[in-house]
Amino acid sequence: MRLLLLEDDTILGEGLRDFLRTEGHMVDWCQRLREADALLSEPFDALLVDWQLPDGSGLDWIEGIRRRGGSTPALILTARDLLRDRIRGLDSGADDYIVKPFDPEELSARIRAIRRRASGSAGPTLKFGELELDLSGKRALVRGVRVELTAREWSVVEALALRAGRLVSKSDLDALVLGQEGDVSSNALEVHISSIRRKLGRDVIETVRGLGYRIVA
Amino acid sequence: MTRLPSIRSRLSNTLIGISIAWGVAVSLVVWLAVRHEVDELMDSTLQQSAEILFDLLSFNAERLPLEGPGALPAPMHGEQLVWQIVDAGNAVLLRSNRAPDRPLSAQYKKEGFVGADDEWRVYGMPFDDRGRVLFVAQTGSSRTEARLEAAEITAACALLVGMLCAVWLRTRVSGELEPIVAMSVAVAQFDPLQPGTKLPDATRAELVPMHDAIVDLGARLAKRLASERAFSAHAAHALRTPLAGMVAQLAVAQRTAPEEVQPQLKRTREAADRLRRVVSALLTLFRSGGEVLRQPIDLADMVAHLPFETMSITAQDAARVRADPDLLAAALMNLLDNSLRHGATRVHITTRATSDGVCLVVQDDGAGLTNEDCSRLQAALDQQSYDGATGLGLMLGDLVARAHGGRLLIVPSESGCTIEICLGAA
Repeated sequence: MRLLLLEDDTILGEGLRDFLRTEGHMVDWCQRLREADALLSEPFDALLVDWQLPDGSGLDWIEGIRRRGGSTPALILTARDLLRDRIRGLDSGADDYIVKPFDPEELSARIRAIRRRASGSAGPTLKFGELELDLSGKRALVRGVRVELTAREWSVVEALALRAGRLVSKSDLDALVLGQEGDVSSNALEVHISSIRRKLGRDVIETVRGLGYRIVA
Repeated sequence: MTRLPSIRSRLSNTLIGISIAWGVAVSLVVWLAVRHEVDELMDSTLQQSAEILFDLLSFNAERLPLEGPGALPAPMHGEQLVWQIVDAGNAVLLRSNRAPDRPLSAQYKKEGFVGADDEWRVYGMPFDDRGRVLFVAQTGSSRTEARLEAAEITAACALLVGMLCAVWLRTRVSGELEPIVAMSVAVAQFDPLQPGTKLPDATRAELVPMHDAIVDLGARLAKRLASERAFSAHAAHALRTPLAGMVAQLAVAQRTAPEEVQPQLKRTREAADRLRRVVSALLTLFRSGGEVLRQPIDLADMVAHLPFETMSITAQDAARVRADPDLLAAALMNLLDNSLRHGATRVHITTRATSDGVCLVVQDDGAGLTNEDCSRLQAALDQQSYDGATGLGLMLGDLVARAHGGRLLIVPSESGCTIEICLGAA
């Protein structure tokens, strides 16, 4: 998943970025709202937002995104643990709320949960015909048999699976899988998709020429 | 709890007392006044009756049988007035039908009121120039009856007026106390911490100072709480964020560091987790408005996740409690840390239902406490005097129990130490 982490504390921000990367996520870490604003034109799977930031309120920022029609799942990271704060946080348009200090493993599970809910699935696995994806275990099974995917290949499959039925443009998929390191002009994505088709089946990912890709249910 | 005196009852009792005293005093005064007036009126009537009778009798004096004792013939009838004609020797010559044979007055007196014994009130008038005297008398009982009747009616009226006044005043007192009751209700609903909340204006001049004092107190309280909350928020942020950073960095290190440092990293992570729980618990317990978020907790599951590798900790099967997991875990960790430091190798945790909740019974096999220590520590906990004697473990356990509507109990036991975290009903 590609995540936008908005946290001004350097030790926590670095720690979360590195931890989430060990979980296989692409993480863009910003310490200021204006830095995050500059990235908002790119697609993200989830936003992880600190409430109090040096240049404003993370809650107001999420409210602004929701007013503009943005629906990317958002999770508030905050030291505020009062009930009224939790209510206010969730009412601002955030999908979840986690109080510092938290276990990074719990944060990771919550990210998976909000992303799953956003894709319309309540359970931890997604099924597309004979293909079954275990999002928490990062496992792909075809007819019940596990198929090994590289981290990048998993990221491509996961990005498409979380947007099942929707067409994902090449540039968006590049951004989701490769983050700011991605280069739309390169053919790295095609190479990954080709490899995925070989492993999971030719018809798993449909290419709509000139528009993008989608996973076939 | 001691029953406090009621203003309403005290005023009512005072009013009833005053009314009775008023009734008695008025009756007494009226009795004296009426007696005097009635006597005067009846004496006047007696005198006038005597004068009329004198005129009638003297007009017919020649036809009266005045030679010896006798009575005028007349049919039997009730006489409120009787009369006698006595000679100079005070012997009865003639009398009315119901007048006695003996002289009405033992004292021979030619004119005026004679004697005042209880039986008769007598008025004498010289009847002729031979020393004969006309005595006219009223019975003492009829005079007493008249006095009593007047006094009774007056006293009854006075008492009635007094009681009516008492009832009326009591109603007025109740009415006048209503603004105090209304203010009590308003104060109970008054939350100075809620913006825009206003205590209704006092409806009596006497209540204005109290009203203003409460509003002032509320404003000061709100100011202090706002300041405390702001401090808590800053303190919470200053403590929680670095802790979260520490835990995140440790989590990364655990995943990336070589195998040989993993044990140290694991212990450091456990210590950070413990610190996280204690800090969360302390921030919740020492902050105004901090909520206890009760959830069903599987005790065995919670105990299994507590970081005490050198001590065997077991929990009663299927034991479940409703409590704030962070607070309860922090309390248990500190109590278990105490057990460890006092040489315990095994701890068993059970639950005990009470009339108003549940107690978690934490029993270890450590050095334990003497009965005197148990009593001393329990007394300190009961008085919430946490200075020195109790230590962080017991203090935190007690605060967590109190936050759940219960208390911490130190139970004397023959071996080891037994501490109960009693929680009130959820």
